[in-house]
Amino acid sequence: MTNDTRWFEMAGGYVLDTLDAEERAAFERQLLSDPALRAEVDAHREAIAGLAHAAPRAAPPPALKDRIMREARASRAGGAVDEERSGAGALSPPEATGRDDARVRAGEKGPAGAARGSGPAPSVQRARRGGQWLAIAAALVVALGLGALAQQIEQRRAALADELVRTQARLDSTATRLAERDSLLSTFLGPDVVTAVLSGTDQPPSARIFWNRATSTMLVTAFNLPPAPDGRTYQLWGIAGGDAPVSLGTFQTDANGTVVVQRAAPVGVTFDIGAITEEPTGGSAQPTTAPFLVGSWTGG
Amino acid sequence: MTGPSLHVTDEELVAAMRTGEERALSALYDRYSESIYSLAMSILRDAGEADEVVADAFLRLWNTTDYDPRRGSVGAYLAVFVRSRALDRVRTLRRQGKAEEARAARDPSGLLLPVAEVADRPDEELQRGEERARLDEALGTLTDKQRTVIGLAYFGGLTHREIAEELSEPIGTIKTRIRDGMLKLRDAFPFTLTST
Repeated sequence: MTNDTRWFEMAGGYVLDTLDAEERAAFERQLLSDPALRAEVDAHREAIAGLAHAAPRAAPPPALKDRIMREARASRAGGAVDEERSGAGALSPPEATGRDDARVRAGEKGPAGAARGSGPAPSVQRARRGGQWLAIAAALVVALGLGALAQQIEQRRAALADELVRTQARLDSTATRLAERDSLLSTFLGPDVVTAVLSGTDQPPSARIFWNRATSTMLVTAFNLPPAPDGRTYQLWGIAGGDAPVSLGTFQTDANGTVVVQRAAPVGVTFDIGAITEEPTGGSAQPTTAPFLVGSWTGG
Repeated sequence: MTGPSLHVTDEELVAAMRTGEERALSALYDRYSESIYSLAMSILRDAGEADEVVADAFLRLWNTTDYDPRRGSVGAYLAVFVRSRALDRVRTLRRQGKAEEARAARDPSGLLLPVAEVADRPDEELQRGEERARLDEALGTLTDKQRTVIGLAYFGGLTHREIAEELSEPIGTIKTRIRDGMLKLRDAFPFTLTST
């Protein structure tokens, strides 16, 4: 990339092929490392291609199409495509076919000279000799007309459109989930959030509670905590000073021992301690077992 | 089942052509052959030579993957290719001393006719396509001098230096005119060459 406007000012002359050899060589060196300049060249190329419309109309002879189709068929049938492709490189017309006097003087046809001069390229000629019956078969395919091709393409286009709809739906779903995650993160990473890291004497499991006092929401996360047995559940408690524990709700972990759940938090209260016990399904008014995860609230 | 009246885009035709679908090449030929043949004739002034470069263009499109749809339209690819090939041929004729053939490329009155008629006689052509109308509009943004130098470069293949000699003007002036004219064209009609 460059900020040197000189190159951009030369782009039109490059595409028109009016630069002298030295200018052209310098420009092409710059082009190799400057994608913005490449885009400028492409834009100019589109523009000057339109100048073709200024040429007085001349209809090509009908035989020309027959010749091109015949040679195309022969080249494809004889495998000339691979031969051409392997030696052609990937240059675009202005770069590949520009003013190259030395090449022309030497009689070289260059990468674009496949069918130049007195007839088709050697590869095409070889293919033609060996592919007569294939050409006839291909001619029958051509005789089917463009309508059938249009139908094939339309079917493919319809399939792609369906795939696009499905992909869009997946993207929408992903975007929704990301938005929810973003909302969650902003809720529990704010300045009004207090946290409690709950752990037992034998690690793991562990749990972490995020409590946003401004929004009165709470996020409970636990890891390596096997699901409570049938008929049992986990219950979270908040304890302030010597008061009785206050239930902050029940939860269950998944098969991986994980839970991430958001819920409403009580308003107008603060706690010093957080704790988790195992209780009968539905929870208890007060703990019926000893807490196995305990921690203090910090922050806020 | 959908009928054959469906419009198939150039991109779809190119993709189909690259799978070996000859009907796609045929369709692309039908769309662009007249435009690029007209261009070849305006430069070469010889039907046989024009046949060769047009055949070159379509066979190259068929036989190689040089054309990159990400970098522009297939119409632009064909037009740029044909112009370049045709100008190469004109230059060869010049070197070979075939003055009569090469004369066309240095004859400003002949070369500028296409551009001049667009600029000065906009009503002459009875059936101009949309692209032609946009071309008229785009060329209308250029000064006469800018049209002249771009016409000499585009249809005649002359370099800055050759144009300066042809018009007996400083080369810096020619460069400036081409630069400014091309920027106007780029901005005024960023269109693609379409079917006729």
